[in-house]
Amino acid sequence: MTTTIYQSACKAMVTDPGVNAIESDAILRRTSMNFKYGTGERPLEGYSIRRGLGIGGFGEVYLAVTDAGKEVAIKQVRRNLDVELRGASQCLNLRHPNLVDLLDIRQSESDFGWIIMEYVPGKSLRELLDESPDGLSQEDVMTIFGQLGAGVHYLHEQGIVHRDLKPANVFIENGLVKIGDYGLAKFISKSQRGGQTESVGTFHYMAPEIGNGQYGKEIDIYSLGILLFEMLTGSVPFDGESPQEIILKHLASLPDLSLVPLGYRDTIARALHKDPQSRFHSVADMLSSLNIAIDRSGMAVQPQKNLEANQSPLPSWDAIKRHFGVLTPVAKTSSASRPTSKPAAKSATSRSPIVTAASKYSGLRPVRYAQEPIANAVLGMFAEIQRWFGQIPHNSPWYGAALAIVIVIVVARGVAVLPFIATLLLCYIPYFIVWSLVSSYQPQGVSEQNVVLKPAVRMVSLPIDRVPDLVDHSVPEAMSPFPNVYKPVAAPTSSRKQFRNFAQWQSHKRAQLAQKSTIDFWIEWTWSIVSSTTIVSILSVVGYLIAIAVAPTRVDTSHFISAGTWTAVMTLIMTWTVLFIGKRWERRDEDGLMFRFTLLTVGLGVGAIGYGLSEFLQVPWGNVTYFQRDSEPRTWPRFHSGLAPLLPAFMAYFAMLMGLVKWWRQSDSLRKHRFSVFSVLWGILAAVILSGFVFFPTPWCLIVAGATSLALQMSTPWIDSKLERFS
Amino acid sequence: MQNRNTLWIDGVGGYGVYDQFEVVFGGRGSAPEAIEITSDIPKQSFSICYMGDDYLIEPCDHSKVEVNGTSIGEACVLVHGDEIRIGGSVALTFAKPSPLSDTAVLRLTSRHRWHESIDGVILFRRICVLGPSSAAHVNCKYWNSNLTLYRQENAWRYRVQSNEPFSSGSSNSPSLPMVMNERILGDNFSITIT
Repeated sequence: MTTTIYQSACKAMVTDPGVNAIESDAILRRTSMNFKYGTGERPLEGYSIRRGLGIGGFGEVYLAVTDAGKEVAIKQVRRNLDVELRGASQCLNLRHPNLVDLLDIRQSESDFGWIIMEYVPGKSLRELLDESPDGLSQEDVMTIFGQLGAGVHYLHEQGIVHRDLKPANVFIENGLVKIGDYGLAKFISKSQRGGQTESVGTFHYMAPEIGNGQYGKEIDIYSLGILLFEMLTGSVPFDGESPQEIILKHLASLPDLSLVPLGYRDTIARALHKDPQSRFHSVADMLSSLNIAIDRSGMAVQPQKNLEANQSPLPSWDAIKRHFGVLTPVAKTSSASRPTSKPAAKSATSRSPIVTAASKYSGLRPVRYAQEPIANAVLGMFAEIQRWFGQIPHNSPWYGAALAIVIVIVVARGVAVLPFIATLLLCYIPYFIVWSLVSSYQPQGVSEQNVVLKPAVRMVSLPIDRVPDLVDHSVPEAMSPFPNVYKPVAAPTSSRKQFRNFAQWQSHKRAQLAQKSTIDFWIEWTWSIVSSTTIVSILSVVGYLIAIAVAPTRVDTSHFISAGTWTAVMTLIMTWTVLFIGKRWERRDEDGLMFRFTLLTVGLGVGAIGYGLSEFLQVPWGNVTYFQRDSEPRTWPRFHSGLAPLLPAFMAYFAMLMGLVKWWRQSDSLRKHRFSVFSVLWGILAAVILSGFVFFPTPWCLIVAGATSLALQMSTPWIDSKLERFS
Repeated sequence: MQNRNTLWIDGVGGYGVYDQFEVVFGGRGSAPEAIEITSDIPKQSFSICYMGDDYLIEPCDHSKVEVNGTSIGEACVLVHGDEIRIGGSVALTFAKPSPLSDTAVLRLTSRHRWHESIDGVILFRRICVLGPSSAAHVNCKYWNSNLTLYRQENAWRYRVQSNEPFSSGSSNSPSLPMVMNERILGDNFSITIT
């Protein structure tokens, strides 16, 4: 019967513009608060009313006191009496800390049904969200969501679907979340006051398949996705002026996940999938994606750190993707880099309600694999495509069209692309082996296993009293709905409020880097030197092979060995030089003019070394230079001898190359991106421009510039600002 | 006892209203004249008295009382937003939100409850404002208008300040009596004083 009501109501609301009234917490805001019973009245024997608590479509809820003095909430059921009371009676013996206890069901002399429930004196989640229009802090979100999920999971285990999860049905008392209104059939009726939009509250949390009469637990998972989105952002993902507009958005639109912090996006995207079968299969799965576990007592808990021994040796695809940073778990953020409030830190070793800590998957394989930048970028791109593709409804024409295009491309061009992919893999595999070997270094004093390729996060080993507090203390402890005992241990903090922009974060981090000891500095530098040497060696071989492959027929490639060696050594010298200087500069604010002048001066020396090396290797520049037969490059009399550059040309070229490009930014551990293709291209472009000004043999000068940029970015540590600013 | 009442606001909360110059607070089993907080603090922990235009808090019987984290041994003036901690566990906030009224409100912020299912204690001085206004003593955010509660000739009266002017041009309703134990039904509110 309930199914029919839902189905018909939803369908009617999509098609009938006159339909607009449903039960909702919003009714409380817009309609009269006139309760039927007043203070002191006893509508039910044994219960004396103190005051009204709320009014919904089903009836009224009162705070009452029993004759013995116990406070209870009593709900009068006026409509659908049999259905409502039958639903409630099925839940009478459910017991879970995150559910409002149903104590009894009674019938009064006036034939009204009464449900007697536990009274929760705290605020509802609706009130909390109203007080925080920009969303709750991530600490609070994780605390609430874990408990909310635990309660809903318990209901599902008992074969009950809530069907009306919304902030007004979630209550929080001293940090303990309690879900109310379960077990009641929800009633959606046509408006009796046609024309006026009274309320669209419940529609915001309603899964799209409800219109088709499907009421599996997936609809609760969908509602949880909406709730998580709203708690993080302060607004629901699908909003509109009318119920019809909201329903259509549920059916056809994708949520704007850019509003949500990175670590939550995949969880919300999957929970809000249009296809119920593509959502999480259980609430436990959903919580797991946020590193929240449900223990044997049914409570949400933070998994213990260092779970390696307990993990399956066979990771799932999701686990692998999570490792590669595609599905970024919220708790990935290093707790060491994220000081929390003292009470939270104090309880870090004990199991506490909710959440974060080390990734559940941290033991599956070394995290350093996960952080390999190229794999990270490629898998991230695939994940985005997969997510986008997965969000298209299967019955949409776009789905068919996209699928057809993919098939056509694979069939028509697959054979041509395969050798290209094979070549890339052949290059990648040796690189990855070398990379994984050199990146296994961990700076001293680091106990955590996260973020190996982001060593700067842990390189800052400040004493605890000197670590800046990133926790948002804008809400006084006493005012927070969560007393200390319920604070998550290492929940991602709302540090986004601490740093207004990237520059501010950079400046803050530079001050931390300045505290680094000299020994740490040299260890890091030495390690970067070792990494860069390996990377440059590989790149030089690749560059050498490419140079041979694309060489014009008239160029004698037998001389390429000496030119290739010169290129490799010069790339290495440039990389080392920038690493040494840049490492020192990353502790201070940027002074572009001074930095450029310094590099320009150093470039003169690098050029001189380049000339000496060229003489030593006897590089026959005239035979290894590419140029169009009809347009021989313009050389300068005292700078060149034929096509061979002389000492002044070397010095001038390298000085300008080093002065023109902001190389120090590419070795800065506080740079914006782990790897920037643009930086590489700009380095090559600068080499091309300068080569036109002071002729220098191509493609060697281009390879030096490009390889230097690649080596710098791949061999230096990087701190992900987004993790610290937004997670 | 007529200076001590309870105000029940449907959909909002219950408040003890104390129209007296000095009130004493204590833990479980306090004397009838004290306001009971169900906790393990002494039966007479501290008192708050109204003197001049200020509220003074004073520890009783060497109870440990802190204001904003500072332990006090003698009377201390309270200002809006002060956080009071008693015996290390009970925490309250002191609010005096309206510049036009000396009425103050005490709310518990720790895991304790007032006796008799109330949500706060109103230390009443001349008028008390309920409504959606930020300066209201009790914030009733879904109400359409503010309601001013006051005493006249030893009886409670009220006046509704509407956001929409009445047809007569006045923005205030006439002063009306508030009968004990009788519910007042407004546009979208209902309250009872007992």
